[in-house]
Amino acid sequence: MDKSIDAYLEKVSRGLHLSEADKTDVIGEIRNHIHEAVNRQEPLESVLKKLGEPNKLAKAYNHSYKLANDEFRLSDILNSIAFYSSVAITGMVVVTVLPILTVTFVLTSIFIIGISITNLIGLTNLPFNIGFMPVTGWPQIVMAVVISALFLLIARASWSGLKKYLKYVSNNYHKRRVG
Amino acid sequence: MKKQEWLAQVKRGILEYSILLLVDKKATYGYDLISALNKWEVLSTSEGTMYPLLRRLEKDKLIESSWRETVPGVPPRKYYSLTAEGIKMLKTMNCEWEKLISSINQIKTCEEM
Repeated sequence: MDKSIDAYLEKVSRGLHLSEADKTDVIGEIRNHIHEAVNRQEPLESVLKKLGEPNKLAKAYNHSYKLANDEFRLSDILNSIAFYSSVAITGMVVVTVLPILTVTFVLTSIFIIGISITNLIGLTNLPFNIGFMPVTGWPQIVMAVVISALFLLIARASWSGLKKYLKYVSNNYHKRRVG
Repeated sequence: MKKQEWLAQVKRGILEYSILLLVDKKATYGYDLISALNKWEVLSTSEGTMYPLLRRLEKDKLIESSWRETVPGVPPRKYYSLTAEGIKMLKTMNCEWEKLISSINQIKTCEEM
């Protein structure tokens, strides 16, 4: 009987993230509980079953410990510093560059289509080179559409990149405030 | 709404209150507390909830403990009693509990909101 009690307690002890003194305290209390129950004719097997999986029990202890020590945890503070400084640095680039990229690529794609049309109807005569090959007339329209589509894709990518970035930052920020 | 889910939510705070009430009557140990609460089905609590909760209440300095040898052949018991802070907290809880019950009763008897 004592063997299975020891084995159970050993497993709980291994799962506890506490100081040695606290571990001894916790294990002593559970050991007493098991003996109290067995003394009152409860079968050992059901006593251990009611206590639950050793890992789960240890986790419950770890969790309650964390709550009690929430005021000061150095790792959390370091974590916050890392988070806010990385947001400050990346934010400076991302929040300015991505909107500019989006707007520029949208405007450029509109501009390219516009020029190719005015070139076609002879209103303007701006050179339109693909590589070193000048294209004119209808092929020019086709090229303009292809290039515009490409630019719009880039614009969309930077726009959704910006949205994702902002969402990530705000999620993380709220998690920090709640946690 | 599932009864169990709702009960679990309601019980969370009440459990701490019940423990302080029981410990206030006389110094007790974990097994005794679990048996005492098991007398009422709505309050019955698993070992896996009770012991970590006791630990938290102790860390919060609402209860304090001492180890006592009692029954021969049984490892020492960890007896809990209220700290001065725990006594103060229990008084507050009693007061808030009354307010809570009377508010709910007022809602129930109110014809129109």
